[in-house]
Amino acid sequence: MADPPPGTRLADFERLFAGHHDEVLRYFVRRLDIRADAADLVAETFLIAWRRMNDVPDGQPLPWLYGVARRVLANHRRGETRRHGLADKLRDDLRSMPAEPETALELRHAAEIFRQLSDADRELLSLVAWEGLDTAQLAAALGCARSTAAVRLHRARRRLERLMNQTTPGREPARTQGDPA
Amino acid sequence: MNTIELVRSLDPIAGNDPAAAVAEESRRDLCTRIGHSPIPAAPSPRRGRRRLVPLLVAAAVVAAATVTFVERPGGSRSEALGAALTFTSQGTSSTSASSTRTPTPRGTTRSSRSIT
Repeated sequence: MADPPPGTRLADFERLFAGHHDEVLRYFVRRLDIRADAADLVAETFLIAWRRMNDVPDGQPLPWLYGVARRVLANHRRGETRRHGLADKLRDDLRSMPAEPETALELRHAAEIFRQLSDADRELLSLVAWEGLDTAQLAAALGCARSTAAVRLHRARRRLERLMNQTTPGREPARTQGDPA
Repeated sequence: MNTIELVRSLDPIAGNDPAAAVAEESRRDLCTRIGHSPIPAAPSPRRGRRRLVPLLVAAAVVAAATVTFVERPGGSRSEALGAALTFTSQGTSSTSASSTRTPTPRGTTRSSRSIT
């Protein structure tokens, strides 16, 4: 595919950034212990989008961005994140963000069970429950067929249900084996 | 409780939206900086092909040389033509009980005993 003229490319990117910066930022803040790290990951995700503007789907770019964000997050967890001078201001803003509120005991127990799931299951359930993706969008974010995404989601939900039924507060179940992401 | 509802209730940023903490200026600054960063040139498919062709030619030459010079077990000239070579060197037909080998189309050899 031929590259668009530089002006059009920049305008397309600015539209993409303005439309989806907040969702991508929330995606990272939800999954990181150090919130200020999200600044670098947001910068990295949009830098990849800027370089691959030809690959960004026209209609629904957000699931595609989540797909990029997943890989950026995986690299971050492997310790391969570059620190971006690009994101200095954003990092400062996130540092001054108020701390997470204390959760109720019941929710803490549920969170404990949720953490017992595999990374892949947690990611699937989070994309649906937190980012609000439907099955087609989930498939686009995971880079798999819609039917595969539906089956994987179904299995993740069953595993969570099973853990909820097995566990009573104070007793830790064994970590489940999920499908690899 | 529905599993999706349960996970939704665990949203770490519920009621504490990080986007609200980000100043519009920081957002604009990041967008501008990324929009002015260089785009690395994509590798052209022609350049890839140009690298592949010599490799394929070299591999074909090596394969041909191997097929020509490497002897397969049991496929040597003396083994395949043993009886015929005996005949030409001694001037008589070999009628002894020595075993002869007949080459098969696949290069394997079959032993047979000549009838005296």
